[in-house]
Amino acid sequence: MSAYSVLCGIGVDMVSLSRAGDFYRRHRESLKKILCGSELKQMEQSRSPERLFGWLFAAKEAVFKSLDAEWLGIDGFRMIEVRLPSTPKGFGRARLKGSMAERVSSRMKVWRIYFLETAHCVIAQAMAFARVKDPER
Amino acid sequence: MEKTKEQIFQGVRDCLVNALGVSENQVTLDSSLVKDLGAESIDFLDVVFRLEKTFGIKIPRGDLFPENLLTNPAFVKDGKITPAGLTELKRKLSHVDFTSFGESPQVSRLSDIFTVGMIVDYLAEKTSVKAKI
Repeated sequence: MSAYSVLCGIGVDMVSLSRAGDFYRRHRESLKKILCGSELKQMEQSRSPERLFGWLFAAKEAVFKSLDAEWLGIDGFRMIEVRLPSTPKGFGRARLKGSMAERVSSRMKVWRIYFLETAHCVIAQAMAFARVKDPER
Repeated sequence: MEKTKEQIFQGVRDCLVNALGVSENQVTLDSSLVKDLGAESIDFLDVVFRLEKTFGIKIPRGDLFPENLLTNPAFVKDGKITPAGLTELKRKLSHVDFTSFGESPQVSRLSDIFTVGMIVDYLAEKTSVKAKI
């Protein structure tokens, strides 16, 4: 029996880059509360970590929205691990961790995240896909 | 020395003025963080971190704002918080008055409960202040 992917959720979020930059500068030492280790590493390796923080934040929010959820608290941010695109036209990926993964993993498996950056903000669109078994194949 | 509720309100107001770029007179106990002060999720985080610094306290995860509730199907159905969800909210957020929200518990209205007064009450409870404004 083969399987195919079904789009089962979309979320979009927009973050002001200046707002994200302010947040980054002010709360740099607290970022580990809301970012995963791999995300902190991506920021460390970046020439513009403030901008990257805006991208990560928008991506996490977009994934929240694709789950049809709103505020999930500080803990919720660390339950979404985002991998930013490696090329300018590529897409990012996300996966759920912890209790959030346990709750929704049966219906959603993979997230693709597309980004659009303007002079002032970054827009992230998260598309959630579920793997569905095809009984006819 | 323990802070009075008025001192707590002033500290909260300063945090909100700096975090949200609003004026002091916009911040009242009844102001909704989202509807009246225009807070977005990044601002909620900013406010929590600023409150921790200002008041020298640690705000545990999910203590001030609810966590991991809206993804639970037992707590949310058809865009509404279920009775079980409401009970859970009240249990988690003992400092919040749910009277008005409970009349029409739409998920989209959940942010209405996040008011300046709610933060002040939470901090007062946290720091065991008995004084009234």
